[in-house]
Amino acid sequence: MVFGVGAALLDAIVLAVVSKETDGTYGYRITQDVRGAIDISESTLYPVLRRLQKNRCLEAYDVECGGRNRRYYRITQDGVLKLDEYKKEWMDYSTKITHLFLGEEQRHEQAGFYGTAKEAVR
Amino acid sequence: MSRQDFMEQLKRLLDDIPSNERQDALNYYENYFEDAGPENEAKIIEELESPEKVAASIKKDLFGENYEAYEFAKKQREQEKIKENNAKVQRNILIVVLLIVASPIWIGLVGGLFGVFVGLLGAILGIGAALIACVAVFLVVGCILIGIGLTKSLFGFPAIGLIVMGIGILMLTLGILGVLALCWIIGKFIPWMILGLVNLCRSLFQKGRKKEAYR
Repeated sequence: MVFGVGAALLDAIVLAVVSKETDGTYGYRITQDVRGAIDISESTLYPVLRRLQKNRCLEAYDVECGGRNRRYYRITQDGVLKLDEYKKEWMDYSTKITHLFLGEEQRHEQAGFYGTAKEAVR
Repeated sequence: MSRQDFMEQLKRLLDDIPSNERQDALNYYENYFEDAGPENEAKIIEELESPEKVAASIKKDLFGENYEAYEFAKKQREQEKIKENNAKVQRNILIVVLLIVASPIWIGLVGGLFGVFVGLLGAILGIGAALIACVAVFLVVGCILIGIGLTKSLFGFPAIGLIVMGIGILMLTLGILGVLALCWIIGKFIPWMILGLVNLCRSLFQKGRKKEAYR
């Protein structure tokens, strides 16, 4: 991807990925899921997970799995709130950029679609 | 690079962060390799690029803005250490070279000191021999004078005989005193001197040994 992914967007993507797994998910799977959406280096995810854990957006717990402990992550209440905030910000941001790209004449068609998407988030 | 090498290098690179953070990070990557399976090991190592890069990503997050300053300070400290070591090696080489270059001087000095020591020993021995000879002369001459005095006083010259005998007794007494003094010197003074020398040598050697122990 030619567009860089900032820290906030990365946090939002990871939160979204983890929130989809109600039973929690683990490092390797999170990385694979995130890489399904954006192209990032594998070493980027650990600091993000640690940061989200420190901010109490994610909680970690160990589950025994084949004779070893596998660390699972799941989203917290704070994390859900934060993710909602990120989603709203993203809708706002992406709508503006889309409008700018598509120009005046197509804005009205697009507005309808994004309007309903915004409602769904709320 | 194998997974084990990768993890070992990562552990070494993280030895300057708090141990709980290090353990968490190492656990994460151990789990990561386990979950990916052995068939993906090489691919993951390639995509992680290097333990240095992984360690940097962890530390950047831990130290935040201070990371660059921290790494810079660490590098500087390491360079200073290397410089210090180099200086130490250079100094040692210099000392050895100086010792070799100055060898005529210190060999001469040591030789000179040894000469002085041998000379002193010779002088002491000479003085000792002279003293023994003196004492022996006093004893012998004393005995002879007593003999002469005795014969003189028995055969007509009692006055001269008594004087000669008196001188003889005096010399004999001095000789006996000399023998006593020599006995004292040989019995007390020489053992004391030898003991002193032995102690001196021992303390010199022990100093050398202590220095060895410090290294």
